[in-house]
Amino acid sequence: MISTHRIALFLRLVLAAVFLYAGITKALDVSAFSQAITRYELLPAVLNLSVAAVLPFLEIYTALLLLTGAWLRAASWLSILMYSMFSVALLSAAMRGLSIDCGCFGSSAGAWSSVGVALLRAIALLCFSLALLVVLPAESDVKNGEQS
Amino acid sequence: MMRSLFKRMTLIIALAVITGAVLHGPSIYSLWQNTAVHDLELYSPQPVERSFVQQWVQKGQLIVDARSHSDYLNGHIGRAHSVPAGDGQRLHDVVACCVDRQQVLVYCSSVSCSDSFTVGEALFVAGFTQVYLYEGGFADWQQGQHNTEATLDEQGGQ
Repeated sequence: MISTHRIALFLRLVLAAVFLYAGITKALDVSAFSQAITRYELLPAVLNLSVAAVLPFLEIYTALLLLTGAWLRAASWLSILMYSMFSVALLSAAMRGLSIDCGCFGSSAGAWSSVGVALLRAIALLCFSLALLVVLPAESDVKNGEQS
Repeated sequence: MMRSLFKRMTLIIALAVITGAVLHGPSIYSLWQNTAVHDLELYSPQPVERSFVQQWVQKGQLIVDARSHSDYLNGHIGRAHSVPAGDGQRLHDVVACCVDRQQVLVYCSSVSCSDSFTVGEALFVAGFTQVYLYEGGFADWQQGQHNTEATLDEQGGQ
């Protein structure tokens, strides 16, 4: 039988890999990322630029915490918050019929960047984040002594 | 416990804000300063076919290659300028030299790439009034047995 420790490790690695890749590609091309956010038509220009500057590093720091196992509960909640936000933005774009590149992984990621695929991926990763939070108490009690 | 969790989350967010401000503050400020020529919401590039591009080339009009610079060096449509997606310096150079021409045609590899759309968008925001997208891209151009140019020196991108 698979232990909760292994499940938590698997979830952490998957989430960390996605966050790290997404964060680095966005941080390397902040101009293209700000344009991608603008295409959602959700925020004023100044907020689009601010989100473009900050979000990549929030993803990278969350990934590093998930990888190292430090502050796992905080990292899980941040992951839940980010994927909830991404899901709402993508759902909004899908409902308005916007045919845009999601901007999830830099300027060009082909079919992986379509709104439909990105929405399914965001929901799946949101579920992963919630699952990680559920299995965390046993994991963090044993490994980190983190309080629930 | 909740307080400790909240503190940690706030600390991580604050760290991300500081890193973003330090590393991207100047470029974000520059983007903010240069964003206002055209409203992005008005961007509506016009898709064009190969025959249109042939005439465009014959007239010596402005063409931008949105593929990577190494792809550009290996071969490109005649007289095209290289502006890979996300390359702010080359974008700035093309805007500085040619924005007075108002019209620009952009292409990338093939119908499956989105870089021509992205670069066209940046050119529109920077001041070009009419952006044409050659959606078939370089693959379609080569299928048409048209002449291409290869650029051997690294400085030949503009």
